[in-house]
Amino acid sequence: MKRVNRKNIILYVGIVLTAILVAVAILAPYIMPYDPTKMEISQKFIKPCAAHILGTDHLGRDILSRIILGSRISLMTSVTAIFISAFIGTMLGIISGYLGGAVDTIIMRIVDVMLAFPAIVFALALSTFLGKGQTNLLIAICCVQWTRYARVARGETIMFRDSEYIQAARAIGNSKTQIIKNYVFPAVISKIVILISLDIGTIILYCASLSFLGLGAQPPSPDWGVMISEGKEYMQYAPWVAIAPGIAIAFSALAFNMLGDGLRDLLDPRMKETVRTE
Amino acid sequence: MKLLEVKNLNVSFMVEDEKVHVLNDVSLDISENEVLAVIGETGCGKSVTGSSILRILPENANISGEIYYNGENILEMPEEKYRLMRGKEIASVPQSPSTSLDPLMKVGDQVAECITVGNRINGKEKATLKGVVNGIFSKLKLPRENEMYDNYPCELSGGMRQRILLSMGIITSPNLLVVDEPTKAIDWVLRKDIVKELKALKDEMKCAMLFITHDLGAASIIADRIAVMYSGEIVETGPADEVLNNPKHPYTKGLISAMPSRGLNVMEGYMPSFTDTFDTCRFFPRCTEKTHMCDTQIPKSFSINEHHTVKCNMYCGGN
Amino acid sequence: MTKYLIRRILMVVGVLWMVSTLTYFTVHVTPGDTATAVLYELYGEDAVNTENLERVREKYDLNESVFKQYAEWVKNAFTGNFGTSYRYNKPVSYMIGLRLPNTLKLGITAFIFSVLIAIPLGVISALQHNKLFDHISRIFVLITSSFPAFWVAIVLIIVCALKLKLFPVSGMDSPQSIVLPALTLSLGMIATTTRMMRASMLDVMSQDYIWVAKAKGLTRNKIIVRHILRNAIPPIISVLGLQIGHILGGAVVIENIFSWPGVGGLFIDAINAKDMPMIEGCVLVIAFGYAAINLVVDIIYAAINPEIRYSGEAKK
Repeated sequence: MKRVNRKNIILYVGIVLTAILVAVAILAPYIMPYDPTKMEISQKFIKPCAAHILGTDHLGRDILSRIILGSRISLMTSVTAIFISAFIGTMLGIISGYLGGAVDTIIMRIVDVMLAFPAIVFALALSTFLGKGQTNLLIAICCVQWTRYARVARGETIMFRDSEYIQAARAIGNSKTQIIKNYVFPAVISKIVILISLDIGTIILYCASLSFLGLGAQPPSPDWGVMISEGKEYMQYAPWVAIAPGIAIAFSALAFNMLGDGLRDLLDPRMKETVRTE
Repeated sequence: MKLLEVKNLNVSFMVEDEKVHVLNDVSLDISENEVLAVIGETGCGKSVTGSSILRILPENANISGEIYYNGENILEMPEEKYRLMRGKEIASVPQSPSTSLDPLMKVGDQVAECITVGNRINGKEKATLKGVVNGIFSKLKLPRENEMYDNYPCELSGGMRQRILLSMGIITSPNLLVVDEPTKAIDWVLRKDIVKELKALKDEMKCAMLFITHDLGAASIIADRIAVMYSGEIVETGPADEVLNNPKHPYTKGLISAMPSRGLNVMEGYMPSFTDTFDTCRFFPRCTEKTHMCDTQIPKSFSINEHHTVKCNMYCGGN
Repeated sequence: MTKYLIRRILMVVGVLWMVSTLTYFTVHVTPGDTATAVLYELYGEDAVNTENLERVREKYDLNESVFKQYAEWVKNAFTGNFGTSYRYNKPVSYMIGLRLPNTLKLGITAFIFSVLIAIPLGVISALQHNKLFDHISRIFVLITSSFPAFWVAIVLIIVCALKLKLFPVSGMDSPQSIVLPALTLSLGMIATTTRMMRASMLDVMSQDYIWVAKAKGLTRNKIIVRHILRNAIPPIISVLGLQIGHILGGAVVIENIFSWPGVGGLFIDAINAKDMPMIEGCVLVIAFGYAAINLVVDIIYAAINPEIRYSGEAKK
């Protein structure tokens, strides 16, 4: 019997904010007041008013409509990126931890190399190789992000590998693949799920930074990072163009951060703040 | 006048908006130069009793009742006044030597800290301090007595750390020493020696002792009187030999017959959780001697003789 | 201890070597002709013709095989020569040497800002655990960690520079010009450091030796300074080391917005201009800086922790 207390409030607020965000993304075409791609130069730089709640940009496009449609890009990219990297990372981490030896050494050295850069620098360097665009942005993020899950999955696997519980599974004649699939994976996955929920907020910010630098979606796509980058040119006379998409980014990052924090407190209080250090 | 008198001590903790009652009307007393052993299973509230006497309870704790030390109620004393007594008059030897020492401080400095509080020693010069600390170390037969001061806890074995903790307790020659599970982390073979050593030290220093343990064997060596604790309540108190040889409470009997030397007949069942509420005797589910009235009646204390009391319906005769 | 250090240093060298190799090959198998990019960047579209392309390839040894170029590059890298920038037509090491002090200045200022704000915030939060201050600080941390730094930068420019005219918009012409970029850069770090400081304090406060310190009759302040802080800060030192990575990464974005003439801006320009030697130089310098800082952090950590000094192993 868990009552609502202060601790859970963060979780509930997180759930509500995330639900709003997801609803906006799904219903985008039905709730945006204007066509987000329609340019009307005569309507450019209209200050926020009743007709255009968040104003219009340098090409006369309605900013609110663009933000609403942009939520799809932001959510899709971050969620896809995080699931792909969590999948790859968890698999490699479990293999590395369970098999040990040369496989472990190779995988962990690769992780070390990845961790030798600040993530954004690595993604930027990678972009010279991959080129620009939304898919390449996704790949760049996955290339960096998987290491985090690999490390955690490996650590957990090593902890489980020598437990009596796994030894018993081995003793009754399970094969390596069976043990990994039926015993190790379910044990590791709970930590990974918490980690994913904690990371989505960070990944949203991360995608936004990279598209702001011009690596992701290209104009005229209503990507939030791109919108801020465009708005930056006019910040002197039309500050709202750059400010509004930033609030959208912060809103979604905050929603997921609260959700992740709340979930962690609920599911694994022992994990406390430690996982964030990696 | 007793040195320490605890009357109707109740302690509860607020955990996630729920009140968890840990100590229920605990009363006990210790005379000067006397050793009272508090015996019970892990989690029965023994250590909380010790912490309450030292007034070191977590912030979410709720404490009521009276604790008299030399006739003064320490629960009503201002913190600053009691702080100066704590460590000086009422000192303690904590359990678990592996975690009770600050890993980043030299053990000598940690012991010295006990005597620098509130100018307990004249002349705070390092050399004097070091001399006093080294004196205690050699008294406790710690090896390498002159180098010991500069060691960090990680460089010492469990037994040596235990002695460091002990030296913290006795360096101020307190009137009352609260010793919490001193034998918990020690090898079986060495337990007896440690307890005997404690007894010798106690006799030399002439201090009273609250000896908290789950180890009846250890208690039988050192204790003058024994208080048996179950689920936050004292169920039996009396002179050590009387309690050990002529136990009255079914729980005490169970504890004694579970001793390795008495046949290792371990009791069935577990202690109830502190979140449970009770309308029967707390020991009722595990009791082998329960009668018809135990079902309905919460037992009261009953005096077998002047020194021996027990909390069991069997002796209250139905009221 | 010495053994521990040697092992750490060897590991860092190995990682840096792999980093450089990886970068070199990643950048050199980039689609698109380098020579074309160079001509385009330096002389404009009209200059791109067969004759010029050949000349450029000759000058930058682009006709050799990738492996030969790599061998040459490694040899030069050891002498601090990272080649010549296609874009600036100057040695990469010279350009980086010119810009690096500015990045360091910005990074160190941001680091100091964040430590000065985050450490006290984390300490007070823990001491006021579950009280009002703690809740406010937790919300503050949640909010600051949710705003994108580049957007905060723009808002600060709009409010503090354009509207209030308190600070210059960009560049580094006056001493005040460092305030806005450093503040923005420190924001991301403040959130994590506060969280970790608070968690570390709470962890130490629940330890048995704190109970013992209380039982000795020490004053609250003595317990905080001598036992709690002394044990809570070392783990934070490792966290700070990792945070420097965020500062270096953040600098790439922030320098760009504030036109701060540091390595980050150089790096972005190099990427846009496909200036290969410059990209490699920047990546290596950043990776080297990051590795060096973390090595220093490890050494400090080992020096203040008797457990490592004693056993040569870090307890993780």
